[in-house]
Amino acid sequence: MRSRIKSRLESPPGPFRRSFWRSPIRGPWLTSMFGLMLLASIPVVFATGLLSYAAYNPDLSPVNDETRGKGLLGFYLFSWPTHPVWLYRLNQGVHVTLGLILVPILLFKLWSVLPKLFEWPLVRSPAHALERLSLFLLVGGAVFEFATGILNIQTWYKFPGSFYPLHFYGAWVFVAGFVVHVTLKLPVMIRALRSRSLIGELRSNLSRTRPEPLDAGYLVAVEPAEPTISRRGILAFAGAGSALIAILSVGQSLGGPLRRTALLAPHGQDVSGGPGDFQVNQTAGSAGIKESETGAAWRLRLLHDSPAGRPPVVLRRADLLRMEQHTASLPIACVEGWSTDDQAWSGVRLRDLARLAGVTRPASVLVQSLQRGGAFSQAALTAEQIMDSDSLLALRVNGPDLSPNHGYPARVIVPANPGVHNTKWVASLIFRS
Amino acid sequence: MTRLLRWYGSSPLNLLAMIGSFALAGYAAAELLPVNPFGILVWFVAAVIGHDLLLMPLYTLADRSVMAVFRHHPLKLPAVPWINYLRVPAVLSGVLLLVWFPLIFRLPSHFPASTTLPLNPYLWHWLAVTGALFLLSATALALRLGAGRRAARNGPTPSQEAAVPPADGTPDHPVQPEPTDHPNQTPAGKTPTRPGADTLRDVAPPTLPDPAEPLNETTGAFAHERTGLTASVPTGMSPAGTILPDAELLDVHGTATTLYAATGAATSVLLFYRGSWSPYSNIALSAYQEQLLPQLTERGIKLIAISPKKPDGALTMQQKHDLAFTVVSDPGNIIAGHLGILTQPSDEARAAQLQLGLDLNRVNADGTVTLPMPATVILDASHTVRWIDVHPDYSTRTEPQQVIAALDHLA
Repeated sequence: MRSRIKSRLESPPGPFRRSFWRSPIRGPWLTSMFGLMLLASIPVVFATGLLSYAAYNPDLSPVNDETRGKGLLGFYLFSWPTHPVWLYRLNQGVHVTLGLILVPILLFKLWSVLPKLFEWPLVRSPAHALERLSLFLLVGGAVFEFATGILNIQTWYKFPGSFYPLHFYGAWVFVAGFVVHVTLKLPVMIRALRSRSLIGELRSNLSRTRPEPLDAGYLVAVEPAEPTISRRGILAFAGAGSALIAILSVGQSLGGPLRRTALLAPHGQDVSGGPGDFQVNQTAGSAGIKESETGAAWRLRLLHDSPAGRPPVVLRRADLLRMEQHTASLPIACVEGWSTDDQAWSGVRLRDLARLAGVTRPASVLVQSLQRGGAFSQAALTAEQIMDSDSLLALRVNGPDLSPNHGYPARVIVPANPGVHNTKWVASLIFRS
Repeated sequence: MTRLLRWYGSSPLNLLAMIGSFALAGYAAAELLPVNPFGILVWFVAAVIGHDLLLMPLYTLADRSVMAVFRHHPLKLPAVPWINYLRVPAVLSGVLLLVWFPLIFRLPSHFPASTTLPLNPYLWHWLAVTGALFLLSATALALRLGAGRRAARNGPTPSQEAAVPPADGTPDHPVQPEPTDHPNQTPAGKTPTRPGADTLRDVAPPTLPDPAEPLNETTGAFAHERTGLTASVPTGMSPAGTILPDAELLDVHGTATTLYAATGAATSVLLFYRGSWSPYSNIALSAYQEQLLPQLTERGIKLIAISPKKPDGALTMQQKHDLAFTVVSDPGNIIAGHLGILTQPSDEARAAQLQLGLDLNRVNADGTVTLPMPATVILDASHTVRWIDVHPDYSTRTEPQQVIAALDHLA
């Protein structure tokens, strides 16, 4: 009778048996090392992600909100500043590059805890069931976030919907799992990290590598195989993976001569437009801009969105060039993490155009492009962004007129603004007061 | 309330954290799912399965296959952990592919039109980086092998002579010793077997004299001791027919057990060994597992290895050798003492052991330097000794065939 009960409780063969897992280096200490690295970095990736969303000023206008109503999760939003001018460039560079660097760490961490997926019995108690469900959020959320982000920066939009809501709400699902995991595991992690000395591990070569003492957490193998790599070896392995990814991608955010080092980043190549040219993510051709629209027939319309119903101010490009010209050195920084060095933009200040439209204290402006359709054919800018002395409707860059790909006849350039909000091929500016 | 928490299985704080987490995730999911409920659920599930049940089993399989292929290939493998010189470049290249496959395989076809950048370089960049990684790794392996050969020419250093056999770094010991075919014959001069033929055997006992190498002073002490031992015949040894009393033992986890609990009421074979610090014990135990255990299991006979080592040491041994039989620690050498098979290392050998960093006072569970002579005992269901084979020279062992023959004879 007893043996029958025992056999019913016995785990099925294969990965559900603890003896199936043979790695002699899996254990709480190693998992905690990877955990510590992720604990230190994931919050940075999450925070820069939240800031990136704030940089679109989604609560200014529904036009800016790509997440179909941010609801309660937009609680932290604030008016995105215009200084320092490299703020968005830095934020996106950190968000994307750090995210990429964490891929090997995440993979090694998942490898180190894999036996726990097959823990037997699968569910011990309601608390254990809830914890496993939260791990589904954690692992599913993490892989989902990394996958959508990595595919988006390569402009391969195969995820099930628009990138913004997926990546934004997915991040909150992930963080829900992350926070509860950290809460439950932090004491375990600290205990495990204290159980061995880091210096001692860094001095232990393969021949001195012994399994960690058996743990209750299902990580240490009960029948470990001979080690083929030391614990310091596997830490260095993961570190080498991260370093390699960093070396091969950070150049697209640093720009200058280092861009060419980003051999495997989307914007690691120099553009072929000659001196003074720089990266774009949307050419005139791909945006469907026709030459007939940007030639002599082009007009800029300035509108004042007020009940008084003033007629629009209509300007030709020559009119704009006759106005007071200003120059600003500003980078283009994309949500995808790549950016350019500062470019010398020159054109008319947005605040001068506001005054011309009859608005001295604008609350916002809706910038509309010649581009029809597309998520970023229009964007709203805040009062602070309009009034900044470096915010321009640029007509030239690095000397000559804008090229078609950079927004000829006129484009918006605002310091610290996400690239897609620096609208190209501008057709009209609708000021609100 | 207490009962509720006991049913729940954790503290109220745990429950609160869980509720908070699921509330947040639920809210985010409610905002997210309307975008494309089916697609998003599929992606989330695929995210979990994709790594844990697809990617991870695949790379594990690849790793094990490479190890197995090379192990069974009649190729002289270096004794350094060569697998890592394949693993590292392969995994790094694989991670790059995992991250950048859309660009490498030119999947975003609109990319050149929207960015003015050509799509073709990414594949070549990835291949070039992969090539460079493998080249670097090959160079590192060559340097390491070169260093190993130089070290071999300069003779073994004291650290390589450590009593606990190193799992790697023994390129100067291409000859893998096996248990001898005949008792009382030292394994030196045995037919060399292919290195790396079996991970268990990769543990080359560094104290074994290589015929090509002169003995240094330390190993000389052991050789001298063994020569003395071969001549000595254990006196006061229990003859067959002695009934062994029950004795308290410790299992691999340090939990108290007894001899009778370990043997049960059935015939059993007891192996007395010196401890996992002894390279001879290591080889013999893995040989017993391969050659003796299956035949014993077939006959319903238990195999129990007994040493005076502390349980943690015993565990290391079981882990290291993946032993499928019971390993126990007899802290006071009670059973071996009852059988009259105890010995102490000669002063000369003890000094040599200490020089190698092995202090039996600390290793043994009873804090003494007393050791059992390697011995094999067949015990019947009533715990009576039916057959005993003692080897005063610890470099020799009872052969598995001898045990089977004895069992056949007794049956």
